Amino acid sequence: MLDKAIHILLSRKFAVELLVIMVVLLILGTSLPDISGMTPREAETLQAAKPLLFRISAALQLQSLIASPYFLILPLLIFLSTAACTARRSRSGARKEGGFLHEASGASDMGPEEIGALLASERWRVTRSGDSITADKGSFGFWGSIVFHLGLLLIFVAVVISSLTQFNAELLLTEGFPVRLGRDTFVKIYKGNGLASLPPATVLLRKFTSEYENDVYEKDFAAHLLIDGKEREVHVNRPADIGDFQIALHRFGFAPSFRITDSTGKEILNATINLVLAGGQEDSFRIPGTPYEVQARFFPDFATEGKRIGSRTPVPNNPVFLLRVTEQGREMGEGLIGLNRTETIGGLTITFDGLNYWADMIVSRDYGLWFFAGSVFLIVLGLAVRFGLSDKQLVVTAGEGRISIRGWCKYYPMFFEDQVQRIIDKAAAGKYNSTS
Amino acid sequence: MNPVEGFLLWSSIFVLLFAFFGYLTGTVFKKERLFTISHRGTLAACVLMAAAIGVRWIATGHIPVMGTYENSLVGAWTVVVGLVVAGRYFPRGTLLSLVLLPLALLIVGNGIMTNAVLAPLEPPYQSPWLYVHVLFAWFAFGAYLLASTVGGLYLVRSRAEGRDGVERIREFLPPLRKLDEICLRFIIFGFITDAVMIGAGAIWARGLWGRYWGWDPIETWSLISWLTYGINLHLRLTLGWKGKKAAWVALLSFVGILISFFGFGLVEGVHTQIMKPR
Ligand code: HEM
Repeated sequence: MLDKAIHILLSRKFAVELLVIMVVLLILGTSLPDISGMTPREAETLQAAKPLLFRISAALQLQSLIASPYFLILPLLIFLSTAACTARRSRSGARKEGGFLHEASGASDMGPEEIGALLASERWRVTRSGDSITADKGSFGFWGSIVFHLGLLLIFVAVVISSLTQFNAELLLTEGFPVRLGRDTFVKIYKGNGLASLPPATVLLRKFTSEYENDVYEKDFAAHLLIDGKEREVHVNRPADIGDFQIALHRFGFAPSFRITDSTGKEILNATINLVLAGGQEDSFRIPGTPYEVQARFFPDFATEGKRIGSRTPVPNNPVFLLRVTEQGREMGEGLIGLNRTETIGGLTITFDGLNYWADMIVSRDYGLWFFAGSVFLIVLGLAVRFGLSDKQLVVTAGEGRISIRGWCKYYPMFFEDQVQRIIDKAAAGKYNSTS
Repeated sequence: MNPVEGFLLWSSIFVLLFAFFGYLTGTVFKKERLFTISHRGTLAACVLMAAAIGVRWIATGHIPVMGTYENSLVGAWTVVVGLVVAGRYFPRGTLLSLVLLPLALLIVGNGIMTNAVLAPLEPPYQSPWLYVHVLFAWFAFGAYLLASTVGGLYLVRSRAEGRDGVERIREFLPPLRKLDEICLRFIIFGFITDAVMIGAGAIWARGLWGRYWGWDPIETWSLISWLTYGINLHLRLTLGWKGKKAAWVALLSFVGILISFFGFGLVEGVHTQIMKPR
């Protein structure tokens, strides 16, 4: 039983079949509709219209596929098969198998001695027995193949380490509001390993800066943080460290402060609100404990053109909100409001008394990366050695006015045949010239 | 587009068009001289395009990797470089050129129709790993493209073998065994550079999104492509596939790469998400 399993694992055909299955599953996975990303209604519609497609997608769509324990069997088999094959091959060492054979012969006055010297001068490793000479080159390439497959195995190690140690969560910071890191401070925790070892640091978004070239093109965004009182600048792509964890800038937006009183003069809101809006887009917020909802459109650099209103640039040079107040869905009124102004809109008195940024940070930890990077290094090194040193061997017999070569090469027969021919030509020229 | 860049690019386009018609006329009317001129034209266009890329690089202060125009410019250039490299193995280089020159022109034409404005590198792209990632992505893409083209030409030649008119094909295509080996070499080159591309992308992603692999559609397709060429190599090197079978696999494998490449603009993955106020 075990013997049979090992036999299958060692089979080269089986390895290819596993890879083909993997590729087919991944192609299906990316092409099928993603049910987990649909709204419940969309999912229901699909289920009603195409029940079969719905069922297949639910099982094989990439996100479901990679989460399924059954899917793990496949990489596991690939791992075992690669491991078994690599172990056996390293034990048995380099063998001249597969590849191409080529025979050629020609006239030559050179004896075995001279032919050996000729080959040695061209960096062949020469061994002689009687009239026959064996010359090797690039047999070290075999070990490139082993290193390459070891690199492949290391990827699996990296993935396992990642899935056991990975932490990845979203932390929302608003300018001026400190946050103490802990389980409850995250908006969303995607991967929760090692939360306990997260230092309970206090993080404050002291200031957020955005730079645009000619006020149009995004150039630099930076969150200026105080982490336990220490200044850290986090730019996109340039994260900072908190212990073993990394904190990276993911998204940002505007957080206006509004003070609102109702028609009786009672203050019903005084808060800084994180709005999710790009210039000109809408977001809305409810006023807690009241029937009011406010829809907000933001113009960072407000300008009018005839009757049209808009934003000249994405830079908050002249921040203005267009606010629409509704009471239980009924529209009460709408109006524009600039920074540090007070307006009455839909019966509410609204003061826009501050504009800050919010920054959405990704706090993460992943020890797998270094194994992954290491495996890519081994893979590239191994392949370069394997294919850069073309493994080949010549068995040459010389004497009585003739030279004949039986050659074997692992790859590149065309190149090899030319090379064999050149040797024959040199031998025919009769004289071994060490400078040639 | 900067005026010097525009001049260089348009000149290269005209030279490429000229070379294409040179090859076409040369093939149809058997004019040997036209092949030589067209070959020189292709070389000149390659240099002109490289200069256009260099000028743009200096003008924007960053490697041209952003947006359809810059990607098309570098992509078309990669195809022309590939043509120059592989063309050495093809008698007169003509058949390969007749396939690849229109392709390069299509890619660059598609790019020119989009916005070619000079803009600084957006923040997510500001990473040295990106340079490695993009450079090797182009190497890999170019090599795979050539592998499939050579695979296709293998099939053309093998169909022609033993029929009338085969002499004509022989004038333009190297022997089958040679085509087979050239195809293998491009697959190997692509496979290695693809691995570097994926590795650099992963390290970049870790700093940007906090994870090195996230199964987004583009990442998954890049894995699919790499595995597909891994299968190609296994079939050829461990199971000994050669000839027509291997050529078909090389040709069809490229379909996967194309989907992944054009998926760039179409698929809603993190790869298409840039830093904007949201
Ligand atoms: C599934 C388990 C695997 C097994 C049992 C296996 C086995 C082998 C063997 C025995 C060779 C040697 C060919 C020779 O020297 O004649 C080989 C070569 C090769 N394998 Fe794999 N392999 C596996 C997985 C993979 C994977 C996942 C890839 C990458 C996609 C891959 C890519 C290659 C490449 C590129 C070669 C040619 C270079 C060389 O000779 O080392 N292999 N494989």
